[in-house]
Amino acid sequence: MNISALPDSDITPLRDSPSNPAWLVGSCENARTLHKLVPTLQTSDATETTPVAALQCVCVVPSIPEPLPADQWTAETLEASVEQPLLWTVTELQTVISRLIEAEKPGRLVVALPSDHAMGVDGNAAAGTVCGGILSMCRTLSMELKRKSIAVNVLLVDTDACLELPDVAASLRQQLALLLDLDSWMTGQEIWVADGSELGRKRP
Amino acid sequence: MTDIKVALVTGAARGIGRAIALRLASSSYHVVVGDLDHAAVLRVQEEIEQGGGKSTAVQLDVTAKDSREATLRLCSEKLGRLDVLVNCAGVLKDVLIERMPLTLFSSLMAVNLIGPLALIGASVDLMRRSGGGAIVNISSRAWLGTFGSTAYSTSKGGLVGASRSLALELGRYGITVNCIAPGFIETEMTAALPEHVRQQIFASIAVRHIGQPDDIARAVAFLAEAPYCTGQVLPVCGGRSIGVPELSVNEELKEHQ
Repeated sequence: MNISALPDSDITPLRDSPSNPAWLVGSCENARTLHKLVPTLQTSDATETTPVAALQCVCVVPSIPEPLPADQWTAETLEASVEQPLLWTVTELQTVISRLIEAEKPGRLVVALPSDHAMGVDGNAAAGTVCGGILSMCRTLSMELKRKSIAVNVLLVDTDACLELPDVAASLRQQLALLLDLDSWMTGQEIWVADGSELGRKRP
Repeated sequence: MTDIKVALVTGAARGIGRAIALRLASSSYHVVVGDLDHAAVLRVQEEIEQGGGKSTAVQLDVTAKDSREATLRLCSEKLGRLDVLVNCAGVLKDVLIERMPLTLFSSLMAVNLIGPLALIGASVDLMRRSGGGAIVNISSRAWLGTFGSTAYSTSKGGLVGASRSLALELGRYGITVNCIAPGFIETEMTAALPEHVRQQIFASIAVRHIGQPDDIARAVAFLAEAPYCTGQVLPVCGGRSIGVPELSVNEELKEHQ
């Protein structure tokens, strides 16, 4: 399509926030940072305590474990650093999904992950595990929920770049607005807002 | 330290794990075959020994600390080293997200993800003392997403994510970490599928046949001896990962489970 040939009225500028209410779920440091970057999102620590009707467009932000060398791993540390964030994420998503299916409503779900840990970081394989698990979780959920008009996408964010560079922060707001907007449809995607730090590398 | 290299294979009693054990034994490894089913894994040990190979069978529950430690003690104290660790133990239980009990999610994480990672953590020191080695995690093509497999694909994707970071962390010690992502492999479960479902699956596989356990074993044998290959995921799926969209096939499969 030759965009210059379109009449001006047909060109919709990218919005900074969705046209419908959108929620950010999570209480970890990454969630607080994301809210600072996207203050238009309404916040919730957990979907269970949030009014049912409100939760149609949700961005879930899991906690990411602190670095721990692999030779110091035990089942106990792994359960706390790996299983708990995965369990928390699936619980929050399942709560929203079950409500949406029951109410026969479309939904827009986004999980935000740190781009560096998704790519892999020396000395924090627990974080890489959480990111890898959630990427696959969302791939499967997007396949399952497409027929229910529920979109599931992942946003991979370099929050440091977003905090330092206004253009990257603006891109984050626009991507998130698009993914959480009931007037748009995109599912099963992994969108990188990482200022190009993932380029030239094999993505997960 | 002995000259004979040692490989530990979990979930080695049958199927893919058994094939990996047999293949590594034929490559002159002393193979420690671990599985919950001790009687079955003893038969694998016998099979290896009858073929002229070396093997030790252990009853191994990857979710139990005592069991993991006892297995690694055997490698360290009786065999003197550990060169290859193959995390093959795993369970599969599919259910749609809205009906998935969280207990099911946790139980799959315990066997498919936390247990293997804990075993890796406990193996690092011994592998370093052995001069390096290879860790091969058996993930799944479900890592790319599979209808109805939220818990399973999460656990297998977790292994992929772990392997990338572990490769960065352990490379300096001469330890490689890779994943294999098997596709549809001939097992008791797949053999029992209705013919029309099998035909649909064939159609989604570029090479038009279902894989055999030894297809995975050959890939493991390669990665066990590939010191310049690390942090990778090797799909062994007959091209299914690049093939026909499989949503309808998977929907139908779930109806039969």
